[in-house]
Amino acid sequence: MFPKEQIRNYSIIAHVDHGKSTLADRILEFTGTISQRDMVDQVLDQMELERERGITIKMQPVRIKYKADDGLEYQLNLIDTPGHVDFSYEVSRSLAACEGAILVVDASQGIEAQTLANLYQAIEHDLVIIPVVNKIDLEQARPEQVRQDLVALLGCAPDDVIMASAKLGIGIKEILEAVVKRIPPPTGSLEAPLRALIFDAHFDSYKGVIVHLRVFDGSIKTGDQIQLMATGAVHDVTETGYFSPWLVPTDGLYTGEVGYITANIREVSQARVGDTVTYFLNPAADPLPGYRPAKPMVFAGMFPVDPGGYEDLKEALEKLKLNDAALSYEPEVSTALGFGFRCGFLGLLHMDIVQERLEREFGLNLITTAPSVEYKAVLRNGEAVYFRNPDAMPDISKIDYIEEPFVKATIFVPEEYVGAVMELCHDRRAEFISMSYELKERVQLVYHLPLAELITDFYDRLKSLTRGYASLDYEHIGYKRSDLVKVDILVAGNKVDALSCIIHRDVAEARGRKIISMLRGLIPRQLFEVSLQAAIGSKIIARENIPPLRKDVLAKCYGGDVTRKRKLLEKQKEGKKRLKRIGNVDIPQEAFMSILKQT
Amino acid sequence: MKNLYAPYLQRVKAEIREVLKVYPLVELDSVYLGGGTPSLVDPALLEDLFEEIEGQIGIAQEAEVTVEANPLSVDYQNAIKWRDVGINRVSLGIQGFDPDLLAILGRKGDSKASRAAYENLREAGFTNINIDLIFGVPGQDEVSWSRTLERAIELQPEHISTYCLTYEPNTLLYKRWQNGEIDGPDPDREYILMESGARILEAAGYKWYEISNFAKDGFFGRHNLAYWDAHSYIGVGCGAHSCVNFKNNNGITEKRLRYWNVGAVKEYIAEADIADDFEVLDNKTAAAEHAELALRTIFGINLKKFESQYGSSAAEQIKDVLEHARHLELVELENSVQYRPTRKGYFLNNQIGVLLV
Repeated sequence: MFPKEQIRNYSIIAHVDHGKSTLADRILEFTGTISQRDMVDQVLDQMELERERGITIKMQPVRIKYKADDGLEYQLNLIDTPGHVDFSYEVSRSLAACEGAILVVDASQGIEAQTLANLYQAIEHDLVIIPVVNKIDLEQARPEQVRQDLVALLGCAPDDVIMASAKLGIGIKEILEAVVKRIPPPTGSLEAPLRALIFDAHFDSYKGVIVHLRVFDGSIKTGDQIQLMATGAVHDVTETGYFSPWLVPTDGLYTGEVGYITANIREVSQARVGDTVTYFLNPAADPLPGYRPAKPMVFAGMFPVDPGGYEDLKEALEKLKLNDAALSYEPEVSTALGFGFRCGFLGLLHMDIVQERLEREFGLNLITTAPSVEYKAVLRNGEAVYFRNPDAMPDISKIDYIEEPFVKATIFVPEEYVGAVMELCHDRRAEFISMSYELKERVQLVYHLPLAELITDFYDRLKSLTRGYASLDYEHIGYKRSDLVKVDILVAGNKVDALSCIIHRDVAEARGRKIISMLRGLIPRQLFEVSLQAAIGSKIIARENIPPLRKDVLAKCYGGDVTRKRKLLEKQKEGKKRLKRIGNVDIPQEAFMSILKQT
Repeated sequence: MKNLYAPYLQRVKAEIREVLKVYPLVELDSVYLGGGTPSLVDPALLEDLFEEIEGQIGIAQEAEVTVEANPLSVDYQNAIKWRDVGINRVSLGIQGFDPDLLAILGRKGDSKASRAAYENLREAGFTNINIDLIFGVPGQDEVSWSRTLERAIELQPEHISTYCLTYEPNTLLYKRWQNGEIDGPDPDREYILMESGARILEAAGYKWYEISNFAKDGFFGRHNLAYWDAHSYIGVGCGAHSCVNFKNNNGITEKRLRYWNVGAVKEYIAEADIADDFEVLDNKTAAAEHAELALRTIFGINLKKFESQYGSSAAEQIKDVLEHARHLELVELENSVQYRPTRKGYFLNNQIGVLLV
């Protein structure tokens, strides 16, 4: 059993692209945990998707052996945290498993939104912070400035800040020494009943679910009968071990250590992040604090383009869920798009990743409707009804008012763009909360705005308005009342369910007009005039007409034209099959897709 | 190119002989020399070709023999020679009289040359002349189009074809459209021009007998009517199309073969096998195709005749479709057996076509 005093559990936290992964790679290399030969850039990235995007979602934990300057051998457990705001809960549980954190800041970018977001989380968990300025090798780096910023931010001594270049391997030793010297060893009692924190889990096709643990009290060995405290589920431990980063079985995990167990758990959703593992027969009195069930915030409909692809989509989602506890889905039917699923995600990035994986790994051809949120209708009888699909909104006569989820958005932006950003926020129904000059030339703006406004193209707009200099972080702050209405779309007098949307009254007319205008361009002319209308209840808020088709004829049809013309007509007839008949009007599938994606 | 004329026609003569081995044709009702621009060819070569045709097959006394001509290559001498060879109808590709519009179309020549060509034909004794005109050219409005028609009517040809401009990919016109230099197709504007054009020509005594074709009584284009009535015909030469109906003992068309030749001149001249591709239509498809073509003309479909040509099952199917088209006001029914396209059906002929295929 390894001496507890020589264990260090730490994480690396950073804003996206500040070099966290490269630093982790260099540490592995430096300590000989991975030989040069096995080194693939950012080897801790497990999934191809993330490698291509250059962002990290899930990295495996790693146990590193390091012989420090004091001559002792230390067990350094590096626990990675997901870098994106969508996964802040996961970040917090990973941090809860540590005693310290290396805060990495890009010398050319300086402190950014998620630097602070993650930092605040680390401080909340009472972690010792080791500030590191990375990428000092870059031409545009201003390391001294960033050092000053960190001193101001953390209240630490200038000498505490370590200068590094993960790319060139500078400062690695200093960082490791700092980990050993400044981060305290874990506390906890070996004799006390087992309490281990689940900070992650992943699915392995051979071993089943691999549960990532930090042991706080007691120990865990193969053969132990354990209970997961949040769900009450009981399992037998079939294997214990640690990460190197590959799985290495061992006899047991002891107080203060980080590793994994397998226990015939079939789905990752059964091993909840933040849950406490204890003994079934001699359980701990209280679970470890901080557990929170995963809650999807952003919803989108996913439909196979070809109706025959439904089973494939279903299977693919099942497989994805094995490794993604935060993904939720339920069957849904759309009048326009047929059978599919309404999926729940932690955020837009999560949604993007799932969509890309479905298309890439499973080869699916999908239509994804625009992301939406879960609304809450408070009825006149006091009952609260949650709904995501406009179709599922209760009858308007029964509704007293509607609430929608809000977020607190923290935006960092250089002074010169403050005006533009404030205008953008104003357009998005955001409520101004505060403005402060946190750092030289970087203004912090805090707004409360509806999640629905955020998940459309808010981030993209923010980036383009500020030429990429703005950064955004947000957290959910609960439901608030809003003047929301349902806009219906009628084609030739018939309501098209699939195109209804929930939107704020102030922008309803503009949105209705936009959809009508899009439809006008997408629905082919019929032999009769077609009226297009947007309505709130029975009130028409926008209308346009599609004039009837008057000329559709081939000028020349002589000997050599006959075959070609007939083939064209046959193709046209085939095309008609892809049209959805609403009343007397044929609406192309593409029309639905274009509108549902945009709005 | 000129040095290929002779070998080309040699090959055409050879093809005729090959065709005759399979289809023993006797006495042609109509002959059409299209293109390409046959008017550019030395009339002596045409004389040679017609000798072959007369010798190998024979041309009926009352046959219609047409040549397509570019106004710039119709001098009096050529016109005489064509008459001598047996050509009795000329289709003159004038397209328009407005120099600006002709420029947009990339046509050389002008109204003077067109008029001169026409006069040469008349002087040479031609009594059956067609003029081709194009509408829907960018920048052409109703006034401009009616002026063009008036000038054509002034000449008093027996037949006038009016074609809506099409933008084919890989043409200069198409590229200029894609570059934003000129406007693209506009069905609503085209409708107006097509409608006003028909009005003017009908008022001037021309019958609107097919979507794009107007003629005085007695001068409907016989060759083209054969296309629209799904007659059998043989095409020889580069890119030529042929159509052969196979009937059973009861006169029912069981199959229709359509085949066509390769399109590259050098390949046509050099190869022994000049077939490009073909298709075989079954009874029902052939019937639907015939109906679709026939409804481009005022003659339309006579159900009884149709039944005798394709059988009762095919006729029933077509009748159902035509009733639907009638409901949409695209065709009308006369005496319970004769379906003809309505005006609306002329303009929206593709909509009938989609129902039929």
